[in-house]
Amino acid sequence: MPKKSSGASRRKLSLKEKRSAWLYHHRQMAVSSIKQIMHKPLSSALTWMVIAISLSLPSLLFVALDNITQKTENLQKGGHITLFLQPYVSEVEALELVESLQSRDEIKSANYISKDKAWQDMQQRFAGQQISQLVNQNPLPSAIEVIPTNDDLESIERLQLVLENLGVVSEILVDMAWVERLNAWLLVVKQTVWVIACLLGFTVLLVVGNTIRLNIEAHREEITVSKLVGATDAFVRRGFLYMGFWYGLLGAIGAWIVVFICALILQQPLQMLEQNYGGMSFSVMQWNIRGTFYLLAGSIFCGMFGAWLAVWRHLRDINPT
Amino acid sequence: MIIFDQVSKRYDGGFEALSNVSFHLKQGEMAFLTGHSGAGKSTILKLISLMERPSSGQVRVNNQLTNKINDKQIPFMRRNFGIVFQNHQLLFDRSVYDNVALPLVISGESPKDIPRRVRAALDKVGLLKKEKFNPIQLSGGEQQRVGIARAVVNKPALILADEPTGNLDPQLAKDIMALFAEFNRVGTSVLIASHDLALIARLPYRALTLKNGKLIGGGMF
Repeated sequence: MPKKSSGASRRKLSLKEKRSAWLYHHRQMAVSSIKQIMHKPLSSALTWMVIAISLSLPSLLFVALDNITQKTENLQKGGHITLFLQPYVSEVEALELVESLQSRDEIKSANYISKDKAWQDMQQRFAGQQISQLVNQNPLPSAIEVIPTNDDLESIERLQLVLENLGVVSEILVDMAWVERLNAWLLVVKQTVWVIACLLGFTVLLVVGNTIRLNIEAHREEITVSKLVGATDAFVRRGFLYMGFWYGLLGAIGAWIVVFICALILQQPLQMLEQNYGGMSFSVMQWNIRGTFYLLAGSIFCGMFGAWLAVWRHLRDINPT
Repeated sequence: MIIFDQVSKRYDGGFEALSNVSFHLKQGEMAFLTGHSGAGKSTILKLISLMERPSSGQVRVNNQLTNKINDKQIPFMRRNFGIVFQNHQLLFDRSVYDNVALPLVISGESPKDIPRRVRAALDKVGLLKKEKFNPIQLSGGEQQRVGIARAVVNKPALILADEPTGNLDPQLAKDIMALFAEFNRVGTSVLIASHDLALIARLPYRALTLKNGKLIGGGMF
C-alpha cells in the first residue's frame, strides 16, 4: 500500500506512455462500441439497414451512370469528318490535299474517296434497286474522310474550323450533334444523381445522429462523471465516433450487397440487350474498386460526422456558464 | 490552495447564490463548508471545479486564476483534484474496479500501472475484496467509499466533497470523515461541504459557514 497520497508525488507521464494509453483507449472504444452495436442486434440492424438502403439507391445510379458513360465513350471513338470537295478539284489536287492533311498532328488519317468509287459503293449498297436507271449521271462529289487524332468534342470542333477554311471544300459533315445531345443529357442525369446522393447522405447523417443521440441519453451519467473527473471532449467523443464509424461501415457493406444483388438480377436482361445491339457490350454492371472506396468513405464519413454533431450538441449543454 | 476573492454568483433571473465571498484554504488544510441548504455550499464547489464560473470576483485554485482557464483547459485542471459527490455518482454498468479506474483511464495513465493504483486506492478505503462487485451490490457506506477511492486514485492535491455523509447513518458518517482526515494527514487539502453540524462540531477543523450566499463565519485567513 502506497504511503503517500499527496499531490507532490504525482508523476508526470512521458509522451510515450501517453501515446500508448491513448492507443489503448482507442482500441478499447473501437471494441466496446462494436460490442454495444452487437449487443442489441435488432435495433442496431434497423439503423444500419436504413443507412444501407439510403446509400444503395445513389450507388446503383452511380454504377449505372458509370457504365453508360463508359459505353458512350466507346461510341464516340472513331468519329470521323467527311470533307466534300468542290466539283472542279482534280484527283491530283485532291491527293495532294490528302497528303498535306496526313502530315498534320491533329489528324490520324485522311482517305481520298473519288466520286467514281463513291458511286460504285452506292450502286453496290442499293443493288437490285437499279439506282443507275433512276439517276443517269453520277451526282456524287469526291470526298476526303478524315479521322481525327483526338475524338473529344473540343478537338473535333477545333479541327472543323481549320478544315472549313480550306478553299476546295464545299461542305463538311461532322456527325457530332447526337453525341453532344447525349453528353448534355448525361450531364443532367449526373447532376441529378449527385443531388439524390447528397440528400440521401444527409439522411444517413440524421439517422446516425439520432441513433447516437439516444445512445448519449443512455450514457448521460457516464459522460457527466467522466467530465467531472477530467475527461476532455475528445475522450467523451471517442466512443461515439467509433459507433458512428461502425454504423457507417455496416451501412456501406449493406449497400454494397444491395447493389451486388441488383446487378445479379439485371445481368440477364442486360445480356439480352447486348445481343440485340450486336457490337455494343453491356457487360454486367461492374462494381469497381473506386466505387466501393467512395461508398465506404462516404458512408463512414456520414456516420462519424452524424455522431460528432450529436456529441457536440450534448457537450455544449454541459459546459460551464 | 483555494483563494476566493470577493466572489459573487448570480443566476439568470437575478438569484444571487453567492455574494462577496472571500476565504483562503491553505495547502494541506482540511475545512468544512457549512450552512443550510441553498446557502451556497454547492455553488462554491462548482466554482472550484469549474462547473460554473463566477459572475464577479476571482477564484484561484492551485495558484491558477480560474477566470483565465478556458473551456479546453478545464479537463486538465480537474485532474488535479478528486471530487466526492453526495449521490456518489457511481456507474452501475461496470464493476467497482472499473469505476475507480475511470480517472486513470481518462488522464491517460499507462494501462500497466492502472491495476496497481486502483487496488492501492481500494485498499485505503477498505474495499480491496470487493473490486469485482457491481456498485449496486454494495451498501450506501461502501458505495460512498468507492466514490472516495475514485476521487483519490489520481493522488490529487485537493479533495472536494459535496455532502459525502448526506445519506449515511452517524457511525458510517464518522468513519467517512475519519477517512478524509487520514488523507489530510498525508498532505492532501480537503474541503467538505456538509450540513451535519453535530458531526462537524466534534471535529477539530475550521468551518466556513454560509448563510444566504454570504460567508458569516470561518472566512478569516
